[in-house]
Amino acid sequence: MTVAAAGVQTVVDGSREPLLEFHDVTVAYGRRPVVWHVDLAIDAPCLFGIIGPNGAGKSTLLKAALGLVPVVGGRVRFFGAPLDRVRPRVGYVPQRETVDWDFPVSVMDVVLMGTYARLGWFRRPGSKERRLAAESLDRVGLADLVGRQIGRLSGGQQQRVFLARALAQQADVYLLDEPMAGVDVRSQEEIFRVLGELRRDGRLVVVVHHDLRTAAEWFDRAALIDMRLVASGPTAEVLTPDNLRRTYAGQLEILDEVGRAVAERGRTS
Amino acid sequence: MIFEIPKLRSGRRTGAGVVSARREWCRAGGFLVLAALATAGCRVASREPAAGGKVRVLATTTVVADLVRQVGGDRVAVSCLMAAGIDPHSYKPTPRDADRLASADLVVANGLELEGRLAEMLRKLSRQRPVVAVAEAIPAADLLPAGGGQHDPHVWFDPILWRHCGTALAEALARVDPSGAEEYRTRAAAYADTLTAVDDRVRRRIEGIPADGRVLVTAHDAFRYFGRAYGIEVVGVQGTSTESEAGLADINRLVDLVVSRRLPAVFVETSVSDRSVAALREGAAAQGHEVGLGGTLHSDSLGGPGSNAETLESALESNVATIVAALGGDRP
Amino acid sequence: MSGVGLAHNTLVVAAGVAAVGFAAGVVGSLCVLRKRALVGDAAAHATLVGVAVAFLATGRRDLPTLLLGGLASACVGLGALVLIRRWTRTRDDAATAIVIGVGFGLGIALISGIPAWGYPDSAGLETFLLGHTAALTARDAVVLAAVAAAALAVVVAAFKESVLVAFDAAFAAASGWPVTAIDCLIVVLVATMVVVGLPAVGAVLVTALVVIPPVAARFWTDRASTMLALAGAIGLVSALVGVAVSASRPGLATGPLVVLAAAAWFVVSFLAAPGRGWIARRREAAAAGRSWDEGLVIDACLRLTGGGASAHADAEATGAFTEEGAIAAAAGDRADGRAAAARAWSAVVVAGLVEPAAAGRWRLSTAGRATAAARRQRVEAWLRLFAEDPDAARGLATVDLTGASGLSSAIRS
Repeated sequence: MTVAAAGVQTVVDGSREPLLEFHDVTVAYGRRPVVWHVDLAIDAPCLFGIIGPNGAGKSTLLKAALGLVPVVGGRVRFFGAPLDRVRPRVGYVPQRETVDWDFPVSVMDVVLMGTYARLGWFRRPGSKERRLAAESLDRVGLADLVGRQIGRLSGGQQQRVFLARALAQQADVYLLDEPMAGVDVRSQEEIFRVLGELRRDGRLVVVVHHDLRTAAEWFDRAALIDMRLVASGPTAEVLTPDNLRRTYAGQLEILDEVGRAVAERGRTS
Repeated sequence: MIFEIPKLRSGRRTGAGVVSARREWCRAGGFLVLAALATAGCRVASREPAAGGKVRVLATTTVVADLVRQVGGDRVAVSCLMAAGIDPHSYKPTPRDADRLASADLVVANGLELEGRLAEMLRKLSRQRPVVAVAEAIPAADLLPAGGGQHDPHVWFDPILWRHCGTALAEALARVDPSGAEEYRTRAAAYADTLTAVDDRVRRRIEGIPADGRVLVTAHDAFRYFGRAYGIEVVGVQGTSTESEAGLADINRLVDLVVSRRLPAVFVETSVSDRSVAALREGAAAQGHEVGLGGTLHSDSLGGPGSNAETLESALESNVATIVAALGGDRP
Repeated sequence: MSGVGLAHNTLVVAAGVAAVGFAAGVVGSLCVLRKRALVGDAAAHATLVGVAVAFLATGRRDLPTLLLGGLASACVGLGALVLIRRWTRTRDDAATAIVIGVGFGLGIALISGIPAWGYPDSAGLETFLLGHTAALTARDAVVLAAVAAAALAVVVAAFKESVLVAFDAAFAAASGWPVTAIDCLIVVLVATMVVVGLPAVGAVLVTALVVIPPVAARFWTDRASTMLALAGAIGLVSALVGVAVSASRPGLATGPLVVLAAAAWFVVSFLAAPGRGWIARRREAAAAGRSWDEGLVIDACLRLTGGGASAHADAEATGAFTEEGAIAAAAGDRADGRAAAARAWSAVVVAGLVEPAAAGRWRLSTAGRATAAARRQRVEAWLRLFAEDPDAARGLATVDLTGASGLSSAIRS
């Protein structure tokens, strides 16, 4: 596939700069800190999960990386450079509820929006962009819904449209904000499959995720966030019962179960 | 300006809580007192200047003010509510005007709804102070209808009719200042003679215009009495009041009229917008008939200082000169 | 000749107002899509101050001068709107009301005060309140059309950027687009259209030109580009209708007629648009309700004759039942169940799905049993699809379990 082939050549190998680095990042809304002195570096392409309880600042961390919320301390670097210099290499899938799904655009229109940044001002998408959009839709399994207005899609289909849009950006790093929220299990697996393909093609995929059970299964590496960075590294080392207890204080039953599942996976893999 | 209303909480048990509640009430009360004082101080009562024994007369329009000067002579001190060039149909009174009206010895208006927005104020005022509407002294049979049961108020351009107004004004002044009654009546009679002479002169000059050219197209219907008196057909783009907007159909109709009668000129007025007249001329030009701008006429207002049209007599003469020159009355 | 004929003035006015109507509809669509329709209102009410100040400052009364003044004050008003929102945390609607009140109050004070303060040549400023289309000269119309064309050119050039920002500002920002600048552009375009609309319909009504056509257009299409074009067309036609009607009889002001024409379009769109219109929706809802009711009646008939459990049992269900029994069984516990079931029963009878049996009772006809069998198949197919791919099942545009459409194509996809 053309898309994948291009990817293998352009991704930086992990030996020089980290693909994504948060250096002592603090984010606040007014005087209230939401993210506190987070140091996190991701060196190699992988499927990376950002896990934490509700309100822990996971989405905020992602938005800070993209410049959508101001950072009061520290900095974020992509491939060693500030985002403005490498924007075409960073793709974004925002949360589904940020958008008015009654907007008069079709599935194809939305996916084409992923190609706009490379087109630049005033140029219209041409046949090259349409082909790219069609391929992206095919990868997520929505090839036959091309002309449908986006409000008439199910939740999983809407999420996949957003994913296709990100694929059309042809980025090297993908940031996804709660892509599995409100999506049925089968669609989640579909989406995960596509993300896995991206990882195999040598890209970094960072996912803010809320479900501990599937997190243990899907992500190679993870960071546990509760306003501060609790732990980061290979998933099995991060999602230990101890760490989970410190972060999710008071939900012991779930923790034990997850801890056991993680330990199980560590033994069998 | 957005002021934040301080939150007023009931005092709590702790000492600090009770004090803070009282402070809030004091702050709110102080603020209210300040606001009341500020607004009270803003009202500057304005009165007519002391007139040194003369009767203080306040006229509404410049035309009416001129009449007061002619009839009142040295016994009156006249001031005028609206300056030259103001449109009396749409003039909105201010609180300062209310003060001026209330402090005059006599208020003189044209009446017949010329000062449309002032009517209410004048009606209320007439219960407390002398108010006279001079045009309403004209016998109803001599008035022209203006739609909606009203009469056309632009009576001053028919000097013969305007004589009635002078007489009525003399009587009103006599009631306010009985010691001058004789003088007022004499002056009114003299002015009536002047008006008769003016009427004569105007008639002769208008007769110099060829009969088929006696059409006067102006911005609004202010010249119907003039037209009736001297045999001129008058057409206004807007109706009798400038408050109504000229519609497209009205302009089209006038374009057709101007073109079909081959009128040489149309006229603008000092107190009315000339936009509709400009559109009219353009429409006629598009049909191949160049209609010129005959000049500016004084309609609802006399001229300002230095305009050579500060009295009704001179304004009429100026109007007639303009009309005659444009419509070809001076050519043999 | 009077009437709608092609008099020069009528043509001039029609051309100018139509250009304004078209461009206002297109530009207003962007504003409505961006959910900032109130912005047009705020801008409209802030223009009067600029018109008055432009006259006071330059002493000139020609249209370009006054419109430039109006544009400047409209931008000031919009800037104030942004600052009020940002600095005082006042919400959108309240901030807009403040700008409207202050701006309009100041504007009216100036417009009515200027004549009273004795400025020569000042008559005519108050026509900016309700418009003065009849007095448009050819030069004025050219100015209006030129500005409208320029605004349109900008919209066409920056169409994809505007739609992107209106749809998903977060994604746009993350992709590196200057969202604030694009927002400013849309707002300035709206302010320009509002100012240009002043001579056409006046400050009080010009918001209608910017908001009504896009809202009406939305009923007819699901594509943004079509919506913009349609909004422009509605604005254009409304303008022409307003001009035509006001030219046909004396004493009719053009501005309000244009707005009324646009409002009529809105009512027609709201009622009659296929799909999104009120009539279409009511009909669709009623048809859906009827199809459910009819399905329930058929199910009830099956059950009463021993069928319903399987396809085999259905085939064997040849017994008879009473009309009363069928209706009661179908009505269930619903509040209006009886009435709905009775109506559905009549429809089933008319369709020939039941036929009279002996002794005043009824039984399923051949057609009825075939329908019941088809219905069972469709339900099973849909349930199978739901088990395999629930997401696809939920995403079906329409699912029709009793009708002939929908499910068979759904099984294929």
